[in-house]
Amino acid sequence: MVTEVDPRIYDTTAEITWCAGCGDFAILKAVKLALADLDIAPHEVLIVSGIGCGSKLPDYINANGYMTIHGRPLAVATGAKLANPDLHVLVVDGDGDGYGIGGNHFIHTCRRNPNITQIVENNQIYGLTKGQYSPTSDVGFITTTSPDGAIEAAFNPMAIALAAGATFVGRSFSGEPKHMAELIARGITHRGYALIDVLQPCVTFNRVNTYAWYRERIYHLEEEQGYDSSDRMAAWARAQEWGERIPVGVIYQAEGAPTYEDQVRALEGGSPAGRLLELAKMPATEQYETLKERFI
Amino acid sequence: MEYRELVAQVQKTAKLTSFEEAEAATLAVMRALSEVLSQEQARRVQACLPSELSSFLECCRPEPDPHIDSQTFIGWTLSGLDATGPRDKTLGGLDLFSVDVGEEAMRRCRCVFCALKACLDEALQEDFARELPETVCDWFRRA
Repeated sequence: MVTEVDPRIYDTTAEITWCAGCGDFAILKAVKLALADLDIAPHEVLIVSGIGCGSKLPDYINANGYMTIHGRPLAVATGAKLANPDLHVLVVDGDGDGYGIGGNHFIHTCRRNPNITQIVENNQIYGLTKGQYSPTSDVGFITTTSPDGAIEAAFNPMAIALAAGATFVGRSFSGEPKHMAELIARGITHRGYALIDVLQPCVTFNRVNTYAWYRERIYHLEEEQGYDSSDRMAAWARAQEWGERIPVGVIYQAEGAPTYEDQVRALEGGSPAGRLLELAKMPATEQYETLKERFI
Repeated sequence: MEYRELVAQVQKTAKLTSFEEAEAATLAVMRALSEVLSQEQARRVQACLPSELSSFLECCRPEPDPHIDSQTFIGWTLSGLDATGPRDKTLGGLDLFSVDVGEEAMRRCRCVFCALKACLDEALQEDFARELPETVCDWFRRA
C-alpha cells in the first residue's frame, strides 16, 4: 500500500493492554492503514468507542477519540457527524457493546444512514469481564454465564443490518489484516452508514472460535464468480451463512441513498461546527448583534 | 533431524512436562508459519523438515499477508495451543490462568524456533527469518 500519509502518524505512546495474540491488534493496524491509504490526517477523523477490550482503541491511535458509556457510541457518533459533517467519524466497539447493550442504536443507525463507519470487533464473548457469552455466541457455547451452553440463537448482525436498511454491510477476519484494511477503506469511502463486522478471536476466553477455526470456514466474496453485492436478495442469502462456510468481504452495498445529514434542514446553511468557527472570528460587538438577531 | 527428536528438543528447551505439550507447541508454530511464509520459501524449508512438520507448509500462499505482525502471529499460534498446562476442558475459558496464555505462547514459540534452526543451514535460516514479521524475526534470530 503506497500512501501519502504514513500510517505511523497514528501511533501513540500509550501502553497497549490487550492480551498477546488478541485480534484487536490487527484491527488497530488495519484502521491506521485504511486511514493512511485514504490520506486522512489525524485531525480529520474522530473515533468513537464504547466499553470493552476493543473499545480501548481510541487510546491507541493518534486521532480525535471519544470513549462513551456502554452501548452508546453510535448515538454519540451520529451527533458528532451532525455537528461537523466534514469529519470522518468511525465507531469501534465490540459485539457486546454494538449488538447487545447498543443493539437498539445499531438498528436505528442502519435505517438512518448517517455517513459513519462502524467496525465491530466480534469475538463472540465478553472478554474484558473475563468471559461471559455474548449476543453473537453460538448455541451451546460454554462460558462462566452459560455453564450448560448458550441457549439463545446467536444474533446475526449481517442479516439484521440488511433488514434494518443498512447501505453497506461487510465482514472481515482479523487474521487477514490486508483484506481488513481494504474493507475498512471501502467502508469509509461509502457514502452512508457502513457496518464492518470483524471476526476477531479472543485468544484468552474463547478457545472455540480461534484463528484456525475461522481459516477453515471463511471464504472471500470477491472470489465468488457472479456475486453482485448490490443484489439485496443475494446478500440476504449470504448473510444467513454461518458455521461450515462464512463469507467475508462486501456482502451488500447500495450506492446513491441519501445520508441522514443530507436530509437535515438545519445543515443546509453549513455545519454547526463551521458556523461556530465563523462566529468566533467575528469582532465581539458584531458577534453579539448576530447572536441577538438569531435568538431574540 | 527426526520428528520425535525435534519435539523432544522443544520439550527440553521449554521445560515442558510432557511430549504432547511440546508436540502441540511445535505444530501450533508450524500452523502460524504457514500464514507468513511464501510458497517459494516454504518449499525450501519443507525439504529440510521431517514430513510430519513439512506438511503444515503445504497451504502457504504465493503472497502471504504482509501486515501480519508478531501479535497476529501469536494469535495464529494460540489456535492450537493451550499454554496454561493441561488442555482447558471447560472450552469456554473458565480457566482464569489463561490470561498469561499469550506470553507463555511467545516463550514456547522461541523454543520451537531453536529446534527448527537446527534443521536449516545458515543461508536458509537468514532467508527464512527475513519472511517473518519483525519481532518474530528477532525471536528466531536469537533462538
